[in-house]
Amino acid sequence: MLCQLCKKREATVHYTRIVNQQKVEMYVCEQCARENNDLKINIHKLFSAIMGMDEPDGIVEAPFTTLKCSFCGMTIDEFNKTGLLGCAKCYEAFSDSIQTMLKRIHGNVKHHGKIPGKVSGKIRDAYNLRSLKEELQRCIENEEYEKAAQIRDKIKILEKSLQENEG
Amino acid sequence: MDKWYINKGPDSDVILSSRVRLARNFKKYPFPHKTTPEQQRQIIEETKNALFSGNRNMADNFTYIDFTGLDAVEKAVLVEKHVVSKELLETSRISGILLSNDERISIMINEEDHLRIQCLATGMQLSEAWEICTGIDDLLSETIDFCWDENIGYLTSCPTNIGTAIRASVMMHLPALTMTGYIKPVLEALGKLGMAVRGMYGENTEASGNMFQLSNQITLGKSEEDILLSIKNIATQIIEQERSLRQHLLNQNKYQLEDRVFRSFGILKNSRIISTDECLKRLSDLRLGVDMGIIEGISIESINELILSVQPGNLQKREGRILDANERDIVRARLVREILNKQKNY
Repeated sequence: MLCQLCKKREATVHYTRIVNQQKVEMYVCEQCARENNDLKINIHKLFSAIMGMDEPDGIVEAPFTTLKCSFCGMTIDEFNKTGLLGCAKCYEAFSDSIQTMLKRIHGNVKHHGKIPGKVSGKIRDAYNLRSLKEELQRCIENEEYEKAAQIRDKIKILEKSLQENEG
Repeated sequence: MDKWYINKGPDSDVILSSRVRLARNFKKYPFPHKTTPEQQRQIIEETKNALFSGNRNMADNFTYIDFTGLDAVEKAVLVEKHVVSKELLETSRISGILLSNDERISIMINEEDHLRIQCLATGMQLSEAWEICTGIDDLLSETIDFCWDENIGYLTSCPTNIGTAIRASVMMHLPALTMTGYIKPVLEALGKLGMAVRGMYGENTEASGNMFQLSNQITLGKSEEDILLSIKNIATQIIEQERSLRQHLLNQNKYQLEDRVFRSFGILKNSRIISTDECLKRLSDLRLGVDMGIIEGISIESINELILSVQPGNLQKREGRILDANERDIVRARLVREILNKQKNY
C-alpha cells in the first residue's frame, strides 16, 4: 500500500485518530510521519505505552507521577519524557516500572553476559550458580542427560563453597 | 599508518565493516545528562588515567580529542568515519574521545552513557572487534568501578541498552537485493528476529548507496558471544542471498546489469557536478561492477576511500575550507574524477 500523503513510498505507519467522535485512519510512510507534525510519534507516549502506563484521557494515575529517585532527584515523569534514567539508583527507585518495560523490550529479564573483573567472588559465584541452574534446565528439556549430570556436579561444588563462605 | 576503512576484509564483496560498541557508566557519578560540568571533566580525566596509567603502549597509541573546542568540519569528519556518533556532536556536555592512531578504537566520553567503547573492523570481523572492546573494558575496569547489577548486568542511562550493553553491527552493501525488490521481505523478517536495520549513519538515516546497517536490538538475557553469533548467522544468510541474486542478475540480465554499471562509471568519470546522494548511488553500482568482475582495473580499496572522501565533512577537510552545497558538488565531482583516473586501466 502506498503512503496516503506522498503517494510515492510504501506506507509503513498506521495512524489512527479520533476527530469529532469519528475514527480517522491513515496509512503513511515513515518519512511523511516524521515530517508531518500532526502525526509526530511522541517518544513520551511510546515509553509510557511500553511501560503499560497509557493513561486514558482524564484519569491521572497519582502514585506513578510522584515517584522520585532519592539519589539524583529524577522523577518518573522526567524518565517518561526523555527515555533516560538519571543514575544507577533510578533502577531501584523505579524498579517495578522498569522491570515491566524490560520484559516487554528484551523478553528475558536476567543478565547473561560479562561480569566486571572487580565483582567480588561471592557475587560471581552466585551469578555462575544461577547460569548453571538455567543451563541444567535447558539440558533436561533437551534430554541431554549426560551434560546435565556434569552441570549438576558443578552446581554441587559451587553451592558447597558458597555455604562454606557464609559459615 | 593505513587507516582501517580503506582495506578489504573477509566477505568484503557484501560486508564493508563490522562494529562493536559497549556502554559503560561510572558507579560514583549520575548518568551524563545529570552530571555537572565539574563531574564531566572528572570523568574525562579518570578515563584517561585508567587507560594510560601503567600502560605505555596505550599512551603511545591513543590520542585524546577534546570535543568542546573542535570545529564543525573536524567533527563531521569523525562522524563520517563512524568513529563517533551523531549524538556526541549534538551534546552540550563537556565531551571528547580517546582515539587509537589507526582510528579503529574509540572511547566516546560523556555521550548518552559515560563511556562508549567502540571498535571498528573491515569486512566481517565481529569477534575480532569484540575481543578488542572487551580487552579495553577489562583494562579500564582495573581502575574504574562500573555500574553493574547481577540481575540486569551493566546499567545504562537508557534501559534499552541494559545487560550486556553491547551493540554490534555490520555494514552491508546490498545492491542486488535492493534492485530486485527482495530487500523488503528481508528487512521485515529481520525486525521479527530482534534485529534493527538502519541506513549508513545509524538511527533515523536512510539507506544511501544501498548500504544497510544490521544491528542487535536485544541486549539483556543473552551473552555477548550469543548476540554476536546471531548477527553473524543472519548476516551470512543475507550474504548468500545477495551473492546468488548478483549471479542471477548476471546470468539473466547481463546487458542491463553491465549497462547500469558502465553508465554509473561513465558519470563518475565525467561529471562536473554531483550530489552526495547520486555519488553514493553511482559508487554502489561501480562497487558491484568491480566485485563481479564487470569492471577491471579499479580496486575496491579506492572505492572504499571514495565512499568516505565524498562525504561533506571529509570533502571540506581535504579542500581546507568551508564549502557551500553547490561548491561541494563541484569539488566532489572533481575529486571522483581524479581518484578514478589515477586507477591504472583508465
